[in-house]
Amino acid sequence: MTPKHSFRSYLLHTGLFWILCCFSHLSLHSQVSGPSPSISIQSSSIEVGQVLAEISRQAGVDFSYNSKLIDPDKRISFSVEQASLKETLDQLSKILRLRYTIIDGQVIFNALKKKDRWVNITGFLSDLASGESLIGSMVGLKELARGAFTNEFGYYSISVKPGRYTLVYAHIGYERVEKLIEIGSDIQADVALPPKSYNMPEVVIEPALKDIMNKKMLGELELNPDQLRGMPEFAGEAGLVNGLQSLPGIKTHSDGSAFFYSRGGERDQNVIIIDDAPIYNPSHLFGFYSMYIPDFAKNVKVYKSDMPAMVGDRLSSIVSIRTKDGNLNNVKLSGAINPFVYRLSLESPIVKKKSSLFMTFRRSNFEWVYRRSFPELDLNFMDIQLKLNHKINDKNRLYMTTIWGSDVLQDRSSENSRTGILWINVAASLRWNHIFGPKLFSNTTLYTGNYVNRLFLTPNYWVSGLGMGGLKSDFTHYATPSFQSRFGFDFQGYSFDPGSVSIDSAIAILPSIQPNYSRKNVVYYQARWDVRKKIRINAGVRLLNWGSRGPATYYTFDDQYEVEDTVSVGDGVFNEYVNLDPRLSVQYQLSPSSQLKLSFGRYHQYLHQVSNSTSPFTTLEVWLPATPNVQPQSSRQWSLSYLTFLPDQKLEISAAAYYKTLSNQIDYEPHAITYLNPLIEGELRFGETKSYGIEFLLKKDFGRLNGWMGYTYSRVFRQTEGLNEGRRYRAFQDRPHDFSMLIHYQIRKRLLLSTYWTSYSGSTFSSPTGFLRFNDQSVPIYGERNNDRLPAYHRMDVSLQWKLNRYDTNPFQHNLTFSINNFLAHQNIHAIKFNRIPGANASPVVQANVLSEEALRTSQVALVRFLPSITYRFTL
Amino acid sequence: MQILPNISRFVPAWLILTMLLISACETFTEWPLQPESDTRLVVEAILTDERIHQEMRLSKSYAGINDSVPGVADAEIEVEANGVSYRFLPDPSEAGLYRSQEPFKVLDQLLYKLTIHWQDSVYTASSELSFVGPLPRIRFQKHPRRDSMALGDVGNIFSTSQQAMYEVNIDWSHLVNDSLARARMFYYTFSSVHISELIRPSRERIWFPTGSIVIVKKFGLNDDFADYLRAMAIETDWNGTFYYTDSGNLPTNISSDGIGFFSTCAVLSDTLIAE
Repeated sequence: MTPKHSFRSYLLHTGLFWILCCFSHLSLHSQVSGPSPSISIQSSSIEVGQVLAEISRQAGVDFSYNSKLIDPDKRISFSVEQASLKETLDQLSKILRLRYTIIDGQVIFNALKKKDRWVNITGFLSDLASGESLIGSMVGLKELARGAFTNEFGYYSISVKPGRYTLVYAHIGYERVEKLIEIGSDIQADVALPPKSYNMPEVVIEPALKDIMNKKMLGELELNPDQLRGMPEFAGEAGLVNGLQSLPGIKTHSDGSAFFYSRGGERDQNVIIIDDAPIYNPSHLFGFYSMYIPDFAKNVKVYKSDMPAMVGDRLSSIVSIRTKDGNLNNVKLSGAINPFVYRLSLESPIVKKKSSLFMTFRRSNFEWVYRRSFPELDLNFMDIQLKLNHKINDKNRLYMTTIWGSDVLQDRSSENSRTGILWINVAASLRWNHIFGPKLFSNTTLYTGNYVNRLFLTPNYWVSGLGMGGLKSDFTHYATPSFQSRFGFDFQGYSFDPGSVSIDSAIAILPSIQPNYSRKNVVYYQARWDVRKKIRINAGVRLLNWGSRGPATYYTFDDQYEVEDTVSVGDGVFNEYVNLDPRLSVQYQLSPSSQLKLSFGRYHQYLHQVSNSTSPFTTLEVWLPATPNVQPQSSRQWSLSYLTFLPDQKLEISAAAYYKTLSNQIDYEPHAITYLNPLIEGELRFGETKSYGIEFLLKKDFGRLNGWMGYTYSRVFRQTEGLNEGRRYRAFQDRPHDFSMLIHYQIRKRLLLSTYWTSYSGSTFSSPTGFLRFNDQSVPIYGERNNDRLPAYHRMDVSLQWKLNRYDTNPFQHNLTFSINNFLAHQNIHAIKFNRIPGANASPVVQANVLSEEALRTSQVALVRFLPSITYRFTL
Repeated sequence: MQILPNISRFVPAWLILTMLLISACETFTEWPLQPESDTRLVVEAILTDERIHQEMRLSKSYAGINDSVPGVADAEIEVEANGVSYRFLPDPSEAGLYRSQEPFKVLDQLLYKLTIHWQDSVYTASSELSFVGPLPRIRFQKHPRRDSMALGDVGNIFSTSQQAMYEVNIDWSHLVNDSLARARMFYYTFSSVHISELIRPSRERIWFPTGSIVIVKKFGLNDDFADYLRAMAIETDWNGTFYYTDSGNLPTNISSDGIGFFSTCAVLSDTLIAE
């Protein structure tokens, strides 16, 4: 060791200064090991440097410290009398607010080990032009290569240590904004991003940050409404189900259907929620159109595994749609018209930059198709959707959404009465955002979802319906950069009408179908914890309590499904289910651009759609709640997901393998009676489903050529006691191979060509394995259930979007879309029938005369083949 | 209690839609079936409260929908009720057709037990007589251009008070001098509603000339036989409609792996001249 006589020797490196101070040539070793020196210093105003020199002189020790920590010229009051070195240094370190260590006779001063101080950057991200909040936008810290996403209200919160940072704000379709900020305490940074282009799918954009851990939540899929709008259309509308179908693991029923199946689940195990309000039949025209209006939607999020604890309770998927808030700055009118549907949207500020409304109206206009042949027929559908939003202040916002959709099919040919069917969906939500502080964000929602369908012969009708109301409070706590949690409660009340009839009692007496009343209480907690830089854990739990409410009359059944007893109960809850649904995922970052995630989740579902129809068309649904006879459905799902991002190619590759078991799955007694049946629960059978599969997705979001390609291999098997002799059988939705591809190619600046291709294995069905003769009719005999399979499905859709404006700056923007559904006119079979003969015009009909010598033949039903459409869109 | 009048009026608009959406897309095709090799005994036995030589048919299941029905002529059949047995003998002119040795009528409140001995197996079934309500009025519809008629609605499709099957035989062979100018059709009234019944597929329309002889026979159904016939209608007359459902085998009351049905029905009959 080299002795130093001056304590003013500094060592400077990367902003850190170290000094070695030596005050004497005395051997430090001898000083420390000898008798303890007594030190005396008395001064009410003395420079720190002098104190150190005096201690060094009296005790024979050297000092080492960072010059940023100690200013030797600073004057202090210091007083020790005959004190030991320890006592002296204790006192000095207390005054200087430093800690010290003695190593080999050298006293080293360091900063106190204090808790890291964190400050919060919070704010809302919005569209500069419209004031629309931006969901799922990235807010990144350039220096730390880390960031966060805005939540469903455009809010973000990031905790950082005080310092100078470059904040990067990015959202597809918007100019990237960078802000340099010096932050020493909590700040709110609301940022508005300028939009890049109008109404064309984004083709050239750079990924905002390459840190993929922040880029994606595996298992959660997002559909951008612009991407959906860019998809080739069916009869003038880009449907939601069409978009969902293009995702791996999701299969639609067939053409013209709003039903879809996610990872082997049943069709009632998916729910579409719009601004937190559930839509129970999101279809129009029996499933050809959906209630989803692309103009009204801002963001579509699809959960098919690892569902967070704050959403539920469906076993297979949750599709959450967030709607646009409405333009806070300017009045904007937009619309579209095609031969089948037209729609008009108005958004306008009510109080500029403070409150706005968004209103959209859509109606079918395909009367020209049938009016001449059927002048007394009415067939139409309509949607009205309204959103109001109001910024009360920086900490409080209100949103109100109302959705109304109806379908009518009626025959007016009779003078005395009208016959037909109508179904209506009404959903609404009132949401209140409140920011308690930079670390706590809350949203409280009052919401309702209602669905009714009515088969009528005025003034008599059959009706089934479902209505619910709920109150949900959701809190997000941004505890630390590595720990974030969401928790809250959700209280819901339900009313079910499983198909009652209102009819003149002088005409007929029909079975009385009792309504059901239920309630659901939920509390949940979900946490995200970045355990280490590369490991993230998501864990959550959802505690559910479902209760059936009286007064009610229900039946108990014996093991032959015959009524055993009739039970009448009074007011209050008479049957309860309590379930605890945990979920856990571990995400590991293999490299800066790839990650792996293992997840497990358990889920319960208390609503059941009772329908033994295997037809693709919707209506006449009957909903039943969990009751003493119908236990809640449940599922367990394990999933292993992998995602990698190839920055140079701007390609995203993901793969997922899953295994899912489902219990209490509703099946039906053959030829079950599901309508006008007070004993409907006795027609139900309960079984198990197992599904597994592997999914691949190759995605390119950026560039002139973009799109995605997905392939799924999956299997689904069911087993129900009493059906198929108790043996396992292939489920209807068991379609091993499923391939989809969507490609957008920007031919020119104003021309976008889109092609969608899908191919998948046909659905299973039961074909006869023999026949018997009764009443001179050939009656099918079936062997193994679902022993046969429909031909494979192939469809190619194409569209060409032509932007009519030359300049984006023009306030009036318009474009034309030419679209052809099933461009190759492939016959996609959705049903096979075995009992047809040629009718009057040679088309297949059912034989009526059993003495006829006409041979029975097989027929097939295919729906849409080569359906062109042209849509004109504008915005003003 | 009356019956819901013409519930099918609920559905014409749906039928129109069905025509719009489905009919144009339905085409004939060839579809290879996967027949099972084992055959089963099929019992078709409807005994009535008419004093006649009661009939029943025995056949075997068969593979192809248009295959000829393999009759079973070597079975021993006996029906017993209240200690009285009735033997059924094969009709040598038609394989599989059996007639009671003596005429008899099924009586109310007795349990009729069927026993069939065939190929070392014994098949049994039992049934009680059901009542039958009055025959509905039969209406005809005139062809808009030709001198032809068609049957209007026969009965009602829904009734909580009675379930029935209507067998309508129409014969105009005497008018056109053609022995094949005949038709037989079945209609049903059930106490439950099935979606395939509400929205039926397009059905062959039978036109017959004015002056045709129309014999309507109404069978009262007990619940089990009604369930059987309803399932049969779902698999045949109503099959392949807009809202089709999962297919399934018909229920049966025949033991020992037999299929078909044994039932006892009260019947009413009427003969009309179509005009």
